[in-house]
Amino acid sequence: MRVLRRLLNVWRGRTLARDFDDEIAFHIEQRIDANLRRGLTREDAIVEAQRHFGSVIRAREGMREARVAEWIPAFGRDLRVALRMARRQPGLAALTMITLSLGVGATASVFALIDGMLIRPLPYHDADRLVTVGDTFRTGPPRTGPTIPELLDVRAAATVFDGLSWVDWRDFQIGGGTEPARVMGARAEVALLQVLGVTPALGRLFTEADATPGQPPVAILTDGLWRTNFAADAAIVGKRIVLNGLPTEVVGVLPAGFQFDFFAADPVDLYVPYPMIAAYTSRTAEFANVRRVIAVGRLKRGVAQEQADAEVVAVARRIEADHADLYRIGADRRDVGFAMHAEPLQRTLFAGSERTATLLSTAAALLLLIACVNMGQFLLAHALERRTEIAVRSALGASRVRLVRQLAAESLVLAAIAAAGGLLQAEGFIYLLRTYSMSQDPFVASRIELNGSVALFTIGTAAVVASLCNLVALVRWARPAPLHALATRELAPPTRARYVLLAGQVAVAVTFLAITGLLVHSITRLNAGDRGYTTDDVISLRLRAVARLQGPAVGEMYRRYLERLRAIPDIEAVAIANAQLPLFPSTNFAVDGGRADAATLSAQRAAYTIISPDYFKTLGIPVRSGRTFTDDDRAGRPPVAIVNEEMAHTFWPGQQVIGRQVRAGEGPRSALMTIVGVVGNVRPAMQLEPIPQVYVSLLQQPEPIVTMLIRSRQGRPVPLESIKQAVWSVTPDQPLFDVRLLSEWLTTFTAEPRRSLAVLLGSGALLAVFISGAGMFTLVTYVTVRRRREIALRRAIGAGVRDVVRLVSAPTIRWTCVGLLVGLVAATSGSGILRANFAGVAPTEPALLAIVSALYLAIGCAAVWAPALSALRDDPAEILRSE
Amino acid sequence: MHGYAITERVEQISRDVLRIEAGSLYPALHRMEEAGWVRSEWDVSDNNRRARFYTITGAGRRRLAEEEEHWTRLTGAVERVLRLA
Repeated sequence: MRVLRRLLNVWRGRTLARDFDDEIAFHIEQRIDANLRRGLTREDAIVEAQRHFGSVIRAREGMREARVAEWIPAFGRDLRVALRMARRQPGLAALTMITLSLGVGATASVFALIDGMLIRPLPYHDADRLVTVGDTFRTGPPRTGPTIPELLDVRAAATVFDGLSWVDWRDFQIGGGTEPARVMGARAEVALLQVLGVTPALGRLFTEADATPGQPPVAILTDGLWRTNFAADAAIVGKRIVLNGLPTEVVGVLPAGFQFDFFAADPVDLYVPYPMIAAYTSRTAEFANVRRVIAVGRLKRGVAQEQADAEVVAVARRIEADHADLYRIGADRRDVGFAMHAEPLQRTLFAGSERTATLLSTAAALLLLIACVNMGQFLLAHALERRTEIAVRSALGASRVRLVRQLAAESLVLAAIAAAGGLLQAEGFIYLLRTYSMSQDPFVASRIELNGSVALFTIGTAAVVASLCNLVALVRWARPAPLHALATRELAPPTRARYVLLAGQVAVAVTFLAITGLLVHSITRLNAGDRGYTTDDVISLRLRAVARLQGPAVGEMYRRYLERLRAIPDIEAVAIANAQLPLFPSTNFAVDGGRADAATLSAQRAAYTIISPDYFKTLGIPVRSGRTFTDDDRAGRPPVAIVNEEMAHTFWPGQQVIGRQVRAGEGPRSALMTIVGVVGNVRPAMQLEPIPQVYVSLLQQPEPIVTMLIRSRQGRPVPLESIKQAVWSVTPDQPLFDVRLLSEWLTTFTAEPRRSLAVLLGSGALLAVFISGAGMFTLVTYVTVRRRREIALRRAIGAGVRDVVRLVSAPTIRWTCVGLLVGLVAATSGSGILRANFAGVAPTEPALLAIVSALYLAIGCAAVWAPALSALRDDPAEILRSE
Repeated sequence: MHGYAITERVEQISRDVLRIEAGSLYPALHRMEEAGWVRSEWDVSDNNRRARFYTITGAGRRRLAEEEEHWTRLTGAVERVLRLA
């Protein structure tokens, strides 16, 4: 009832206000009547009544405050006052808002990352019931996939699972579509898709019979493959496609958006049943100890993770006891500490990312804290300028409640703007985070988004932060008695802590700035100058030899592809190599006549590239001496190699290199080869210094998975179709994939991740610089306001501009320099870490550090100058008189 | 009873010892109404003017009883202290 009336009062707000006046008027009139009856003149009666009543304003104010309904319009008035205050000092207000929204935005974007990884459930039905089961050993990798016999035992014995299944991944050649293609296939144990809770869009899932040896092969297509390769054929179920040369029946199509690719090398295109053959399922068979599968279980409803884990541990102990011989190795039958564990799928997926998330959230929280402290300082300086206003207001009868409400209104305005700004900033930061994680982990990238909970988090953070900041100002505001504030203008000098805080801000900003500078500089360094090859007019595509060809036949097939392609008029040169550019050191080598002890050999690393004859011509790599490979450098002929200038200069300085011998190649590829040519250096991946390079002939070292490089005549690009036709004229079912411009590939591979990291760090740096600049500005403003009288006095007795500037800014500048020095030292040591992770980063770049320092001092001067100038603009006589 | 009548009555009963400031009375009345201790309505006064009349509610009586008891205890205590001190 009471609540209802109060709510009704909200609608009656306007009437209520008139009621107050009527009630007061009635009271005064009654008094006048009484006075008249007592024989006073009309004038005296009115004066007496008014005096007797006291302050009408105060009474009305009191009534208003008593009425809850009146709070809302009153708050509206306070809001208008708050906005007016902001308009009066637009610079300070804007600075405050931007600082806060930057801090809030950075925090929100990190929350979006954490939300995507750890909070938002995975896109499966009842995803919190999904667990992975893995093996652990006392030594060795932290967690591996179980063997099939182990999984079968767990499935038979455990009572906690609704289903337990597993999957691994393989390359498949697919025919039957519009053209031969290579696809990524998941070999899923028949229950996997049920365990994940997926319903097929078309057809059915696998059944037990599908995995039985000897059954005709079946497959389930993903939505993506169904659309790209089979034109979304609604009648695909029951049709046969060709997988690795075998006719395979399509039994189903998965819904759009379903994926379980986390542990696969490439996005999965189709699912086939995991073959339940003895080679996998028997403890004595060939693959009994292969631990490549990912095991996924669905817990029964109501089963806790701990309970499931405990049971899996118990089952594993029984398995170990039953097959003791398998889990004791070596002559001394050493116990390898075998155990099995179940853990939430989400934890397995993001096991490596938890540290990154912690790191990022710490950084963001720190930024927010700095922004928050800054904000408090702003409001403090702001509050100081308003002390008179506040004092006057409370002397005029504004109650404590009133003042607090005014502050609350300002907090609300602040929070609303910070939330709106924060959301905008978060959008930008999220874009950066997504670009960066795209190069690391597309799944994480796809889950970073500005959704409802992130928006809610942003608004909540903004509200909490704004109220906290205002609370700081409130403590300062509310303390002095109004009269005292009117009478004196003494403010406490800024504490040492505020200066230390400022120095800390500066140090963080300088470190950020210097490290970003080094990173950006490294991008320029890596992209500038001669790479040793040209990517103009070159396209690259990948090939995988068809499954039926083995050994030298593979090389011979590739030779015939090249022969056909060379006949196309617009192709200037075409070549095949085993490795995509850029190059990485990939093999140890020994040179003829060089040192051959183990330590030397293990330190001698070279990039090992298997190439076809026209490789150098295609990429424009100069042949310095000797020859390139020919079609005669094939299996059965003397093994030959070509080395780069770097290798020639290092091992045979000033000597004849042709005819020397080098041993290179990993494992079975290792061969002693005669050097027949020397070519120019190719700049290796993410590194400026040349590395030794060894090239060997494709016809002598067959390699099934290769990259084809095709260079067309200038300005006359070769149609992809004619390339495909040339290849298919040799092998009709040869899949070609990953077709792109070589230059484009290099950009995505080398520059993109680093550029997004630089932008990410750069925005952090700008943020820190901005915040610390703002911090300086606020501090000097505070000092200036505090010493206004003193400054006026000094100027009155002859102090010049320099003295004044020095007076107000000296400690700030001093502490800024301290921060700058600390920051430079931190940046120098931090660059070591950066160098370890990013090649091409200069150790220290004195010029860069000088630029950073100069830039920083300039910002500092600007931040100090504005308030100092405003102090100088005031007329000293005016100030001295007014106090 | 309207606000003015309340001041008059209090002054009358207390023989002018207690004087209520209008500036405190009205906010207090409005607070009490928000709390549900009194009810108010606009009506016509003796001299045919529109006035706001306040009536005590059941909750208000209970509260009054509590406050009265509290007051009695307090004054009693003060009295005893004064007498024995």
